Amino acid sequence: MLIVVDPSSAQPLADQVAASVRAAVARGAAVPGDKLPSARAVAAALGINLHTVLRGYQQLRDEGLVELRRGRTATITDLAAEGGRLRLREAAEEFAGAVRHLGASEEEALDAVRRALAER
Amino acid sequence: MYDVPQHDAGRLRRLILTAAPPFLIPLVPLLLVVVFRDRLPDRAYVPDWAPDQASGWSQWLSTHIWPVGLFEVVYFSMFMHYRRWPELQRWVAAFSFGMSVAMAATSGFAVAALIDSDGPVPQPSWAGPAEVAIALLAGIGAWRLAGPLPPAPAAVGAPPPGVPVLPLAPGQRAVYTASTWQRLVLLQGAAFLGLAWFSAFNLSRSWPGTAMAGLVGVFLVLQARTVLRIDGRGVEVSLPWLGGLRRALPYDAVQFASVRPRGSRTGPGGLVGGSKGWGYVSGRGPVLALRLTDGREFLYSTRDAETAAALVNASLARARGAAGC
Repeated sequence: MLIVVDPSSAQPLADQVAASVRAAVARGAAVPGDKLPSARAVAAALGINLHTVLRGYQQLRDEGLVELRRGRTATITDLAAEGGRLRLREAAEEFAGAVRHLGASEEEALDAVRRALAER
Repeated sequence: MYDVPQHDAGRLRRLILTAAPPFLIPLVPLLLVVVFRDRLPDRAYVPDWAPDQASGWSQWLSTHIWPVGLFEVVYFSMFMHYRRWPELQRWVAAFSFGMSVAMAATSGFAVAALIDSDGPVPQPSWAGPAEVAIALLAGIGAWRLAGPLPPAPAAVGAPPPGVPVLPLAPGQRAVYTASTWQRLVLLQGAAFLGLAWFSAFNLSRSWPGTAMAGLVGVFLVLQARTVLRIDGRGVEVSLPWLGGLRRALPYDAVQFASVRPRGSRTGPGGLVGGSKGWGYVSGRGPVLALRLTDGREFLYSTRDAETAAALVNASLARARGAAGC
């Protein structure tokens, strides 16, 4: 599983960690039952804070994508098998990034999505 | 095309230290029997033989000759298997010295105990611990004599064109992890443990062979689960069941990374490996292949080998100043 972060990015590091795991699941590189690397190992390898990695993992737990147990590693859940939903989320995050970059409002962004859907 | 580097300084010295020790197995008891011939009983009342079946000294000494040929073949085969790897040649030399001295000491103590006796005598209680201590000291001595080792050549060039490279922005940091189960290694370990158990109760009262089979079995079983990590420092394989024992490959020792198709190679021999390389190949799925500067390869089965290879090449390119990474 590949985890990539960019400390110079405006996106919080915890979000970047979570997004990396989502991307790995979406492309089939991580499947249900796979264990995530320990937060300590990831933090050491990337030179970031342990709690930052844990916050990223907790995001994934809140989404139901991983199961976290105290003192044990995080495990990808069966929800990861629903790759389509994850790809949709990835695409939405990419779109949200573009919206922020362009300075568009939330209403403008949602209108754009509705128009795009209506045209198909 | 990359040349296979010459990494064989001191190989003859290590070969001599590997091949010479088995001759101690017959020499030590022979010398003792020749020197103390007049003070020994008529027959060889050694511990492994029942007193009423004890042979004459000549016959007993002749049983020490055939192991020399066997051990020479085994050690020479091991040495040639590791012909490109001085570190392992050093281990083989130490192992050969330790095992040979232990076997010579066992026979030597058996003869020494019979000096000035008329019949069978029990082995002194200190003989067992003394054999272990002497074997360890001999192994350590051979280890020191076999060193120092030639330094491994360092790679300086960027990865060649055509290999996968992860597009990493200058500020980005990345870590890749994967873990695998090695069922074949687990089965091999179980087989060695079974052999040790069978040997302990059925074959022999000699401890070195049984102990070695048991140790190899435990070592193999504990290698069944492996974890691969690739980050900015290099590539590392660890064995979580073996107390986190790990072997690291700094990027200086890697020329480039590539991907092998599914089932392209058999297992390269775990954390130890051989002359061709080391690593863990399960036979299923693609394989990450690293070309090393010592002419060998590191192989590791992982579902996402393409990403792993791309990260290694990106890290190499970054470390060696190639543009775009």
